[in-house]
Amino acid sequence: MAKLLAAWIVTDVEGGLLLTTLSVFTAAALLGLRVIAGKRRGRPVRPLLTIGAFALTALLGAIIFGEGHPPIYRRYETVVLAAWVVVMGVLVVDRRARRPILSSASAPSLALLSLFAILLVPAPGAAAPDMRPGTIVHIVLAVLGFVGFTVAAGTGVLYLWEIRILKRNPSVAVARRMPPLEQLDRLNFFAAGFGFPFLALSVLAGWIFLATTPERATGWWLDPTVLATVAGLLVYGLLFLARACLGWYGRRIAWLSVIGFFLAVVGFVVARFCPSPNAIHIT
Amino acid sequence: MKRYVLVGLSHKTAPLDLREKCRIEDPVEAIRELRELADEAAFLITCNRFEIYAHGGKDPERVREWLVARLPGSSAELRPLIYLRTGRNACKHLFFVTASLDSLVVGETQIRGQVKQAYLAAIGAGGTGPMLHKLFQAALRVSKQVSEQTGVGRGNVSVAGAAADLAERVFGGLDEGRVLVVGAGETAELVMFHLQARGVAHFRIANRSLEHAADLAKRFGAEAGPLESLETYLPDSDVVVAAAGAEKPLISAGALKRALRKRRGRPIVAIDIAVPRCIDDRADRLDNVYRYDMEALSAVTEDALRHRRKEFIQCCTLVDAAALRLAAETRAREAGAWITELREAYQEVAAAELEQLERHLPDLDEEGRHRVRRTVYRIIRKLLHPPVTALREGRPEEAEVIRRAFRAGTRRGRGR
Repeated sequence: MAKLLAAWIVTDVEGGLLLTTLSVFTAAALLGLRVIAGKRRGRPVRPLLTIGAFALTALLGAIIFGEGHPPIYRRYETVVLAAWVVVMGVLVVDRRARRPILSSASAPSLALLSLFAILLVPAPGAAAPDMRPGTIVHIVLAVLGFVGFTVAAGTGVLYLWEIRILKRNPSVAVARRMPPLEQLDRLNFFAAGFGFPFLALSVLAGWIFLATTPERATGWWLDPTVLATVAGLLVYGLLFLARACLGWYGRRIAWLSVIGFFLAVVGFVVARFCPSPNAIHIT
Repeated sequence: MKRYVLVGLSHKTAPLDLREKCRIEDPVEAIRELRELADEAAFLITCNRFEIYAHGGKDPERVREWLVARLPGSSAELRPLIYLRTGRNACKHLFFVTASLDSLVVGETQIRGQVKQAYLAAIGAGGTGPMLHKLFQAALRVSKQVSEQTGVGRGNVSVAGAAADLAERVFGGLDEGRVLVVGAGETAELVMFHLQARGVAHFRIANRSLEHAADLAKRFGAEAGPLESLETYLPDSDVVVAAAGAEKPLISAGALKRALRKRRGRPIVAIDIAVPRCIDDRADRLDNVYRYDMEALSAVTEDALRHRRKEFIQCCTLVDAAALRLAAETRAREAGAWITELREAYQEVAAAELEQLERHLPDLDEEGRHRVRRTVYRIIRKLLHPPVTALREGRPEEAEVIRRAFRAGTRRGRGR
């Protein structure tokens, strides 16, 4: 496996770009952790994320134009697409909010995503699987939904961390670099609102796809992937309902977005790594 | 660089009652007097310092004497309180002052504006020339650099400012924030002043004495009411500033809970700067209520001060670099003048010798004359190249030696 990976990385453009992305995001993550710890200021993180975003864009271009299919046919391609959407979102939000802590806090997760993508790279010469249009729609929608939920959960965690700081020790240096609570709450709600319809449509598309697939398993709708994703969606639905009808605000909303994300991730992990009807068409 | 002079006194050397007496009635006249002692002069007068910056002049001591003569007290008493610095030390002092590193509260931002005002006043009074222009512009530049590149101005060192900071950390901007102030004393007014500076426009004041509340409300365009209206005001308030003396808490956790329910969970920042405290400390357990008392606010201000002290070394590096840059610029300026003078002197000698030569060689044609002239001037250029380079790039002491050796700047090197 290690030899194959090394051969692939050395010979392949995609491998080189992926390795570049991993190196840049790892450097950004290390700097980001120092920024969070208050040991340095956050300026260098953003340029590193920008370089990583360029590398990911080139990688997506290489997949689309080099291999001639959307970047969702293989597991690693999906992860690369998700990382690209996340880094773009982070850069846009960071530019608007002007808080380096956002890019610093997201850099470690981007480094992990890049590492994850490298680990999922198939052996050289492996053919891309055939996909029906329904599956493509399902995966694209799911990726967009996940991106929304990732940002929502990320801001939720930041929110929970910040209220802990503001309640217990507002004088710590990191508190000065955090975005205001209201800004985080708005961002959390916006990201959840962005991800929810995409994931809901993705579940619907997946349901239609499986319902019309002859080789589907009996009782596929009781599949853990479907159940976990639907549970995640229900939690987010509860979040919107609580906000609109009960006036929930702040901590509770942040917790709901984190729990909803966790359930959605469980669905994703089950779909990718466990025997599940959702894994039948994915390499 | 060596000709810059600073004479002055500050909160670090002189008591307040002496600083209070440092006044200049007629700045134009004072500048005129100082220009008899130096080529250029400017005053920097703030509540913490009285300083004269000058350039040129024969004896810096005379500037000190000028200041001593204008202060009450004997010369022997005053001289130890008045500092005199020259050259790079004088320049660095102004850089430190402008970057707020010499202020009573390190990192305060007012001083940069005061230095700018002093500079403009000196220009208006005709006290500045090229050297003070350079000095003041470099000082303002370094101050900007310090505030942008270091954290020396970050954090708030006053309790009122820290309270406003904390409210901003919850709400972001306070432009649309509504503030309820409980009490109408000086502390309440100070916090209102800080919050107004951050953009707060809607204030409500609740106080035992409606008269006092109305008085304060008038100054801030606020609404005033009695203490009994607290419960009515609370749901509509994003920030509550409690600054009223009371035996028992005036704002209970229950009242805040009811207010939160009416606000549909939107946060409330409760600043309790009263001693004894007048917001129930059980409010800490409520979600979306951020309560800060004097203890918490003091921790924030102390932390900011500690942070500023930590940044001091980085600031010193920036100031040192700026002083070196200014020294290089000043040296280049002085070297430029010397080089011109040196060249002119040697060219005059050459011209005189050529004239003599042409008189002795009347048969020399125009072409020959031209060639001789070009050769002589080329020799001068080549001979002067090493001293000119050394004047431009060498250390000040070396430049001084060369200047003396070649008699540049003395107008004695012409061989007349």
